Amino acid sequence: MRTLLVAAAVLGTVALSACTASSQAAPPAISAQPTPQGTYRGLELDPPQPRPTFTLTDTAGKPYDFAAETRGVPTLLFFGYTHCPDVCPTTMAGTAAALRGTPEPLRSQVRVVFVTTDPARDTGPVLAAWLRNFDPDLPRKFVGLTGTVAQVEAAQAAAKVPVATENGQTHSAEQLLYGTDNYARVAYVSGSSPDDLRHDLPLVAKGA
Amino acid sequence: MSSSTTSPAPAPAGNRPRRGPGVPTGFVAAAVAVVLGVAGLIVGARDDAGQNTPGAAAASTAPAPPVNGTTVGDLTVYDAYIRQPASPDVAAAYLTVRNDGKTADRLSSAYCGAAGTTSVHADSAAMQPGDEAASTPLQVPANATVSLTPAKGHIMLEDLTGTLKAGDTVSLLLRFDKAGQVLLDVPVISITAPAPGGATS
Repeated sequence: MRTLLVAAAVLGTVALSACTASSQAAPPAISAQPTPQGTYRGLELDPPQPRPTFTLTDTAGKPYDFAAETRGVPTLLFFGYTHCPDVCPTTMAGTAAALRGTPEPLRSQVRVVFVTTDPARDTGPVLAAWLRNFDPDLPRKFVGLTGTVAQVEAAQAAAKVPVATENGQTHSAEQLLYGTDNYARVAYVSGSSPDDLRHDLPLVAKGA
Repeated sequence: MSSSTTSPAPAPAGNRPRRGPGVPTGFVAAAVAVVLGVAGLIVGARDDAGQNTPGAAAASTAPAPPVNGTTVGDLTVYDAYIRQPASPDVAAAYLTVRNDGKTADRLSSAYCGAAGTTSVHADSAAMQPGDEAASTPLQVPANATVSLTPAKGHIMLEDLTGTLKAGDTVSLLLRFDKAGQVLLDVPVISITAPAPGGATS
């Protein structure tokens, strides 16, 4: 984990967005490859990332097989923690805003999954109470998942995001969007507009 | 990014940063978060032209005084808000500071009666991985406007002494190194409300 952070710093970037003090970049040293006509408004992932396979525990205490539960439907996956003051609530509020602007039946189809990076504090009831702040009016409730530290770290590795450190408080800022074809071709961070996600959802629903 | 006066690297409208092939996965995932941050600013500038996006705010030193500003010395603090927290324990305050003076200033600390602990977490190029828990002052260069915006910096309110609900007003004392102290009445906005000043999120 330390290696990942250091490697990121070498690139002139800080990969992990801490909620206590977030990621910062000098001008990115990475070459951002422009696409003349981007399909998506989020960041396009090249190559696309396959929908990961992991099983964690939902807020009701039941096993949740991510790949099986979400296969073939548009799914947003984010890793964070409820004591985060900044990135995590901003991301989930933006997600809810985007879904409110999304017409049915797509709005009811989209799965929103939040995996805690701080399982010691984020029990099922804590996760559920926190998530209900964002989705009270939405037809499909957000899914909160927890597990052991090893399990949530394995889930992050499966999703190919940097594994969180500092007891989960420094974590990836990426929210991945998997499409009906079970690949993520686009991702978001807090600070990107909900309009971007609203624009992209119908595209991934069509398997674009 | 938002707390410096450096605008993001210019990119032609329509160009989309994307993850390139041939980069090791661990690095790629790392790169994305930051590239995305830049993309967010670019998109913001494109979609909200003329509004107070972080990039636009940093680039603008327009003299028009903000209507909701509070002045201390050469500084004007405006568009302050706290989003109603989803957690019962922690919240974040955001604001913009304009410095009309010829000397740089710095927001080093803050105090909020609604929280047991209040700390400034501004972005900083000097911040190293592992320092995330440390308080980071907000630098306010001469003749510049800087903002604390979600994912890029905030004033952290921990150990909340009560429930913060939309419609509440919270007193927040800011301590600048040169300009001194200023007391703000900061509105609590709903989880879904747009941020004052048109800043993204």
